Amino acid sequence: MKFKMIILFLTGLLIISCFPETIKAQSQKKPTILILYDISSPVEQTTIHRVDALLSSYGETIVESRASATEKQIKQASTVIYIGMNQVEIPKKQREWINSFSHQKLFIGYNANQFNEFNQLKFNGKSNLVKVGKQTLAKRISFLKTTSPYKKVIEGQTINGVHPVLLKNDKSYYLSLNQWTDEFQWYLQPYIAENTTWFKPPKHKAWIIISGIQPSTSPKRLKQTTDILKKRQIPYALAVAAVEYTNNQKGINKLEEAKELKKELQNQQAQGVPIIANGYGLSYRMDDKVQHEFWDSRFNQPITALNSAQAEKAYSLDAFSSIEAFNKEREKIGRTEKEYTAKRIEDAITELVNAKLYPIAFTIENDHASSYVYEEISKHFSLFFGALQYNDNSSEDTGVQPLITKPAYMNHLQVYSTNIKPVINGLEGEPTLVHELKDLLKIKGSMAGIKINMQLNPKTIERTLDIFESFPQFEWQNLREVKSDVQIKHITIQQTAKGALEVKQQKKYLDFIKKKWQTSPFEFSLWVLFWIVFLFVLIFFLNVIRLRFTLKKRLFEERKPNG
Amino acid sequence: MANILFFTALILIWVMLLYHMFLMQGGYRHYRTYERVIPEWEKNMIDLPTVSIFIPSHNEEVVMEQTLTAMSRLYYPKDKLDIIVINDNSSDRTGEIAQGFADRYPFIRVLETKPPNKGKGKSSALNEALANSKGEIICVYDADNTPEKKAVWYLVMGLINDPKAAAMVGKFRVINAAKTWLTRFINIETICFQWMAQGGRWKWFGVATIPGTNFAIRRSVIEELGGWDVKALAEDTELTIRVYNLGYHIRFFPKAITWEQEPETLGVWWKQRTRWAQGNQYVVLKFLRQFATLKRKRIIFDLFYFFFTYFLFFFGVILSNGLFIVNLFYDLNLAIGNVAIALWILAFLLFLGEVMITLSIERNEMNRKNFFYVILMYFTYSQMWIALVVYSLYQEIKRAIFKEEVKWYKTERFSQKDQGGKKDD
Repeated sequence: MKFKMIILFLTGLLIISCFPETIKAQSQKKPTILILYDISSPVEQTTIHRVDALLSSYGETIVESRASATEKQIKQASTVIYIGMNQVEIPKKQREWINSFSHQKLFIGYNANQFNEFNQLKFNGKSNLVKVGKQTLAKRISFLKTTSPYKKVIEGQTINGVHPVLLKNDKSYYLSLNQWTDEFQWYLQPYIAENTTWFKPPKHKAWIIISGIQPSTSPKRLKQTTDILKKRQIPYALAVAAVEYTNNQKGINKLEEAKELKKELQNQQAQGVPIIANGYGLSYRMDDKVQHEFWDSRFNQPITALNSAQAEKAYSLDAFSSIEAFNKEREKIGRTEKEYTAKRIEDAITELVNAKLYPIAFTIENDHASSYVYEEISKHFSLFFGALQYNDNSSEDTGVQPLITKPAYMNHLQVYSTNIKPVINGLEGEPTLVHELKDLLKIKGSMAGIKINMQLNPKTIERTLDIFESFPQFEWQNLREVKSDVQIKHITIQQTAKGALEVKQQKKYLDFIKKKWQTSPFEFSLWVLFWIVFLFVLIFFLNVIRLRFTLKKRLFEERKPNG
Repeated sequence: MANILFFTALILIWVMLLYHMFLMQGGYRHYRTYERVIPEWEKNMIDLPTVSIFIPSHNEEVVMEQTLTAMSRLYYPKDKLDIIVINDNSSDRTGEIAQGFADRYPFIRVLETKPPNKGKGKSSALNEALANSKGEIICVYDADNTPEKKAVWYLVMGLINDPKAAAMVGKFRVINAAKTWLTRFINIETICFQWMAQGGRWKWFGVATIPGTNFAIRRSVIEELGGWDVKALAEDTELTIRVYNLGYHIRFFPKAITWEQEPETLGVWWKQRTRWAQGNQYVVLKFLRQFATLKRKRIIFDLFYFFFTYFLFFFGVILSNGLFIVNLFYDLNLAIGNVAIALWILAFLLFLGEVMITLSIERNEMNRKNFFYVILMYFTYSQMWIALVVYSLYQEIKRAIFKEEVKWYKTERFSQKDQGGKKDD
């Protein structure tokens, strides 16, 4: 062998193996709405999530604990929101940063008097609002009583008197709330939409999803339901659960096997009807009265075990010696939730794609899920339809948003809220629907979203649509024209804003390899090395075994004199 | 930073592992083919040269009788044989035993070293013998060696039939392999070294290293080189480089077999191997410094192999072990995940597979007992080398800085009666 060739080869090998891993530059989105908060308990996180969900309709939210906020973050925001859920002394530096921020600010709760805009604010204890403006509240809200010389924008009433709720000084606002509810938000939101400096509202839109489709659904019934919408030329989407558990999760029916239904769904898809993945099997436990797939409704807690039979009641906050200990346990549960969700999503998309149905978004039957589940969903879907749960430890704090929102606590998953319910209980339900639509119209840029279950009476569906259509301010949103991305290991689905659907079902190994090479070339090279050497090792061991069996024969053939 | 160090360690270790995987295959192929030339070569064994066999000895009374008994039975015309026992400042019965054989066999004689070569180590002793002999071919055997009958015959055969070869190198086996766990490890090590490093390099690159014993070199070459380097602890490696620099090559011909004794205790092993490692480090550094003046650049290849082995590879292993220990206590956030563990396991399996294949070359060595010894060896004997290399490097640096005189450590011998190993009759 020639030495030069060998040296060149080895040098080349050395150079290649020394080549540094390419570092991919990641483009960073500029934060717009910076939400800073002080809380003393994980329970108070719910309020933060609610504010996040509300404001992420207007821009991208960055949610940060006030203690860890940096000057750079504050400078780069287009607006700063401060939420004080408990009284603390804010460090001088941070106060200066916020004071020197020249754009619009909103202060909520405690500590606003530490900032220049509201330094004359005085707190006079807590109370409960029974009325806000002219609206009597169905549920009382805790708030902080204040006195100040600032302009009163919104006033509220307790049983004892009238107090300011929303104050204004120049372009900054102070909200004296200590608690947050949907009811209050819907009251406040029109004001926010009117008075924020960075929001250009779109037209009012509406969307419809037909939900509850699973392998046992009658294709005829599906066609009957969708024909109602087609007749009215209303665009709609279909939320499909890929499997159906039977016999207490011991049996499983797959969509792949429901040939007639599959064919009907494929036809609908071919006609431009988007498919939405409705979880995987609709339920965590078969014996739940109301189906929840990503929440353990029996114990009203997050998913704590991959198998529902092994799930146990988790500890409450009181059982822990400190918040840190509780948070640590919650994170551990969160990891289980993510693992569970990831598996369900992968299975759901795989099953649907096997049936040649290509989902463009995700929805959860009956809505309950924690931020860990949402985070996992956001890794695979860019679009989500449904309500939002604000509390990671209880399903009691669930709500909807009037606009499309991308909360930071949901990892900026784009959420289209189901904020409208179909007419139920016949004529009695109609005023509720009308009232909800009217409330929505008060908020600029709001979007009405409704899920209609497959099993709903066609007359109910017709009546719901009649009421909807009596509000001409709402334009129907064709969900086929919403940009979305869906991804799991070997399947990518992209829907463009022009309605084109692109599906890439990777030639598993070839594209997997390409992707691996792009993301971490050094690790990929090492794996290649591993497999090549492994092959050799395998050959060596097979050879060793072969030699061992032939060696006895060889013993007598070896060492013949003179070769 | 941790990631950079980790990647560096990985590269250093795996370059070496892959290289040895490559060498092993060459060695095995050499084993399958090297005997094919013998029938043709035998035809040229008519006008045989004179051979001087040097046996440097210092306090070798334990082994001398056995060694000279073997020497007396060598298959070579006795009138062309001159076996010289170089008695170098022995304080035991070495001289007396050797003289006993000299009295019985006219082709055996004893040479007492004189100043300035007296008591200065093996190189000096060999130089003394070189000056006091006339053989056209010089063979060197350590005093604990018992060569097989045709060992010298085959070495000379190689030199006759390969005129471009300056030296012919045979194979050595461990005579006391079954004595202790240490000698078993050494036995496995020597088989692997010879078939992988010697056989593999000879097959692929046409290079081999003089091992210090059981080799033959042309007198004209050794005289042209000015004898052995007295400063070198590893005089064999040092001689190898100089031979290549003259434009010759060294052939590995494993048909010539000798059986030698290996250390049976850790202390003896440590001292011997420290000397070897230190000696090789000296040689590598000496010739790398002279890189620009080396006439044959292909030597760089061999030098780089030694440099990589004694410096870079062990540095990589130490670095890797260090990162592993630190990571137990402090999360270094290493970028590589499971592939690191997978490669660690694979390295072990590769070692096991390579060694077993190499052992299959030698009769009765590929057996269940050795299989488990090889597994044990990976985690014990192989790891001891790390400490040894570091220690020897420290010794060599100390010697260079303080300009200490080279001290030749005399390997302790053990009584060999009725001990393992097989001999060819």
